[in-house]
Amino acid sequence: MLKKLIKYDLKSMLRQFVPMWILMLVVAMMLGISSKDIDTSFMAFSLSRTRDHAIMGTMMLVFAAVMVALIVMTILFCIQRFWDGLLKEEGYLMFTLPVEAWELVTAKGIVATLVTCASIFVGILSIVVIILFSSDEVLEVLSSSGTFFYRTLFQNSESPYYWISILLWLLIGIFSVAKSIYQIYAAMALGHLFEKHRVAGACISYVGISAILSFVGNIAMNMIDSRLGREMIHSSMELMESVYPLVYYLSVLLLTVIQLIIFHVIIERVLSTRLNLE
Amino acid sequence: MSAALIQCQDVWKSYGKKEVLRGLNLQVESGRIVGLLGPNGAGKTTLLKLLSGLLQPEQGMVLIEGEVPGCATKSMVSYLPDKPYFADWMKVQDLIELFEDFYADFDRMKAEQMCAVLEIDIRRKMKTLSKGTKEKVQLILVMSRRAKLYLLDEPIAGVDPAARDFILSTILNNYNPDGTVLISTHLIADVERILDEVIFLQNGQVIRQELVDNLREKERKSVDGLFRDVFRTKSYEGGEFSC
Repeated sequence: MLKKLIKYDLKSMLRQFVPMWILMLVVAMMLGISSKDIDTSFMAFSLSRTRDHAIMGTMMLVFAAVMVALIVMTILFCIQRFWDGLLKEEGYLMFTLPVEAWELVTAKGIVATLVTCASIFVGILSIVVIILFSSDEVLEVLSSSGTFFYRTLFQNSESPYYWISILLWLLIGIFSVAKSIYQIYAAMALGHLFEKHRVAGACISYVGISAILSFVGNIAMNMIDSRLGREMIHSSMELMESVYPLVYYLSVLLLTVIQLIIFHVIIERVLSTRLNLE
Repeated sequence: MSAALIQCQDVWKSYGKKEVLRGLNLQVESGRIVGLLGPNGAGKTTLLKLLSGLLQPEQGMVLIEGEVPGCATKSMVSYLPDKPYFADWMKVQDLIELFEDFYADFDRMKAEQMCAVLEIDIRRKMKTLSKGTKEKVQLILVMSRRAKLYLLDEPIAGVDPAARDFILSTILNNYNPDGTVLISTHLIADVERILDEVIFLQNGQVIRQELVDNLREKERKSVDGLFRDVFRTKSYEGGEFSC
């Protein structure tokens, strides 16, 4: 049943996001093309140069606008799919399906995380597209700095811990996105408990959760830092070969997963026992 | 005597300080069309939501076929709420697929045939349909299931008399005869002809539950007439406006 729920949620989200992702990449490509071979020298003033700059400037503005729209849309739609999909009229349908509340929550969480990660990926990809389509000089400079970047990044790739670290960064990134989404969902579920002014209740709950997280998170991170940080500094020469960074990343990942589970339990309990669609 | 399909024992439910159900006791058997009748605010919708698993009682016990409302009972209950509950972006065929995916007792062919009879294009999005057509689609989907219990909340409220006839005939012709249909309404005159049993609800309690034939015989009046007698409120006689 979870697979089916994910399928329906994904269908609902993708019909809105796919056109936006395509638009983002097309605008990035047009910006790249419009900035290709523009004569940037001071003496090269001409009507065509002014026109080229105007087109490029416009494309930059459009690109920035689409980027902002994508960010806003990602946040708003993730919120809307939970609020409208479970806590408003659509909730009548979802909560009368023969599925458990945890499956509904998990489906929403997985789909929102997937869409958010995909939006981040499209954002990065659009910058790569601009670079690929812009002038050869820019490409050369970037490729030389890219080589430097590549060397720096992969200088320790032979270390046995290197790829595990990369994997852990990736997992921390994905779970952090999921945790942030679940935090918003938990706030909405708690706001749902309010008799009136549920949106305000959700906002207050979010601020409350953030304050608690910040307090508890700081204590936890300080404990990890104090235990591992010193060791990492002392072993800085063999930093990437050291096992300490791995333990540190694992601790951060564990903390993120624990928060995620707590939020999931809060949401599931509220929706299972205190649901009120009035 | 067959085992009760619905059992409610001392059920209490309130919204904030307002008590909606106050120690409600009820037992309904299979294979009947039952009218859940009562004035506005009597607790009809709340009772149907408890049975469909959308609400939890604060006190007391609600059982469907001996089970607390949950995942298992939802697969045998077909619920029609008193408002549209579909996402506007969905097409009618998306909804048919959704019901087919989640409910093993859903009859796709029946749903498509009913749509065809009513000339509802299943490729159309819900947001392009009129309010009445949306309600019909919702009813078609709910009645295309071979459920053990149909919970219909105000299915004929707010529709014209012709649509009422369609809705009632759809219910009569399509429900699972082994199951039970519980219809909440205060438009008794329209539904009376299809009811086997009535439950009168007032202030969150069952004040009367009887087979329609017995009731007519005892009271020598229609269900509608009896309803008007039971729930008659004294009208305001009017008076002078104070200056």
